[in-house]
Amino acid sequence: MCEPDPCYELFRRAFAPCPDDDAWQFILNQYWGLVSFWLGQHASEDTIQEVFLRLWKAQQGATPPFATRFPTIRAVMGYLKRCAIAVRIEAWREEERRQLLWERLRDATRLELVLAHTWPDQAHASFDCKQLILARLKDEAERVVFELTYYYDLTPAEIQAERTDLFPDVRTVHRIKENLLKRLRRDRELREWWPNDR
Amino acid sequence: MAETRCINPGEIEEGDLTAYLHGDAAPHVVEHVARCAFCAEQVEQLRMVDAQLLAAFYREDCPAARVLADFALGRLPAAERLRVAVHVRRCPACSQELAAVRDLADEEPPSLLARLRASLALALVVRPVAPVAALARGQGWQGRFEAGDLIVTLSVQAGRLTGRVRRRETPPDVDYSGEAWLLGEVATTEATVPSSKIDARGRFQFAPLAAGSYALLLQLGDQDVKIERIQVE
Repeated sequence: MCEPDPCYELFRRAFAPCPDDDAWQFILNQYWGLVSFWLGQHASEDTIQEVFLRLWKAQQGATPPFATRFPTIRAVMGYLKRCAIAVRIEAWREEERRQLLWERLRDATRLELVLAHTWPDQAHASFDCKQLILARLKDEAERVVFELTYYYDLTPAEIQAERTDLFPDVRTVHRIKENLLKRLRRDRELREWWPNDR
Repeated sequence: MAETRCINPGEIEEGDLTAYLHGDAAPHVVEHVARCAFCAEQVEQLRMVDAQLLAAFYREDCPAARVLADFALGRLPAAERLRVAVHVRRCPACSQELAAVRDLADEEPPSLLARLRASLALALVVRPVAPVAALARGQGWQGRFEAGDLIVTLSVQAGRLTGRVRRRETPPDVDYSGEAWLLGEVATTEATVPSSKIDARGRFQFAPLAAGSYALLLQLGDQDVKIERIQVE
């Protein structure tokens, strides 16, 4: 049972088995500003479009049909907002990751090469690649160093302070980390993934 | 061409180059890297691997953005909600993200303006049946608009819009009660959308009106109709 709401009716028409393009266009015009507000400082043409795209994809070929999945305009708006919040968080994370990399790489002597290979777009490893790397961690100490370094961006000194049970001094953390990085760098199966100018 | 060997392997130990990378190296290591092209190259290799791993794995065990969005909106099943809550408590980054979107967590229905615009998009268009007549001395205009059996007459004069709606071949005692809205074609805020009751005889009026172009929405029981591009001088 659909509610007699004009906003809802537009969404229903846009997501009907034979979609009404005019209704979809109206939805874009009508809610563009609202989605932009939800995205806050991360609002841009791309991020706003991404939000609508997610709403669109959510219903494409989906079962149950639109009216069952979204029985009220509140449900539709709630889902649209959920998409907007997720896109906003993703944009936030991407920005954070870029800043982090800038800080990490600012002293690199061959910055162009590093950026070309390390920038987030290129560096996002596939699931298989990540599994391969994780499988190379040989013991608990390596796993802890790896996770605290790369999941949480902790420095060796912070890692040592966090896990004094595993690392008696910061030098131990440096040694474990260097050994691991060199091993991963030499790994035949991972060779293609690292930046290389030779 | 890059050097293939360290100039003095006895000067450094495993861990020294990573310490150098983090600014923790002893002075003799800093001095060694400055002199040894091979070790300087090793430092750059470590820096690249380190950055690439950070780019790939940073916040790997944080909940996905859509999960955090569901958490913010209170839409997660209990078990998952607990798992995310535990994570957020110990993860400053997720906690910060959550705080940034918390003010959006309340789900509100579309605004009145959104509903009106949606109604406008769906409404039946009522078109002029003849060119609208200009009144004397540029004081306004009047016109007659029709769609099916519906007839709307409008008159705009001195910032006042008056109108009447009726149906062809309908008994005189039929009740036309409804609501009329004027939506500006330039930005309109919800607080300033002019509205008027349509009385039982189909009459309505708006005054005073600012100059501009408007769309008139008439909500008549089970039918919404609209007249677009109404000019008010």
